[in-house]
Amino acid sequence: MNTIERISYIAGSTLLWLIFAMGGLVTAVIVPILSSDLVTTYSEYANDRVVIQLLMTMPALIGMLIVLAVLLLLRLIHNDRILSVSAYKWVQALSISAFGLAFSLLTIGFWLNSKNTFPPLIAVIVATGSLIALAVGFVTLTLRSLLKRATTAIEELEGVI
Amino acid sequence: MPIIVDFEKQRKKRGLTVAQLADRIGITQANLFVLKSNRGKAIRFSTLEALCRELDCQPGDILTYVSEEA
Repeated sequence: MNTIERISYIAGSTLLWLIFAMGGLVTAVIVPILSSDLVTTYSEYANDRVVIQLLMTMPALIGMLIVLAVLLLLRLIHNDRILSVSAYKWVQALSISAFGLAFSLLTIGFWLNSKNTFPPLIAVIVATGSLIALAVGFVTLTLRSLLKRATTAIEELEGVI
Repeated sequence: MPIIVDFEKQRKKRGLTVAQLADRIGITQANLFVLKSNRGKAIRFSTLEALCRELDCQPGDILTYVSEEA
């Protein structure tokens, strides 16, 4: 591994850990504050504190799971073990999490729509976010099959004497 | 595997130990044992060439096809 690759790995991992910590902070501190703020500011959300908290926590937690999966995959690349069976489950976790994120964003959209409080800007953000998450999920699934083929090829090559 | 690798006769004829042969053809003893016990999935042309060179034989002297139906 050359210097640029090592620096990229360290910088990437550090940033991902930072994002992960920020996700934790958002889930533990910002979401409860924001949800109680929404409940007190807008009367239409007066009885929806728990729902709002749940709807905001869900994408944050799934996002943290995505970051964790990427971190572990990065570590596998760094340790030269990406072409192994252990990488499958993390790629699968990444894919499932991306679909989960799309689902959670769509849920937020439907809930806001059911409350007749779905401003166009939020609708665009929710729709874009869901589409990106769905695309990431499908691309990751495709890459998983590619990883499987590459791992099989490596195993076959290792069997050649 | 219907292709049998058998270089033992040639090796004994040359008076080489497995360790010496492995060293001469540039593979590990463990891999030579894998070949010897027919557990190898495939053999490189370079390994076959080195085996033939060190044992002074032809590929046909160490590779045999045995039908699986037999």
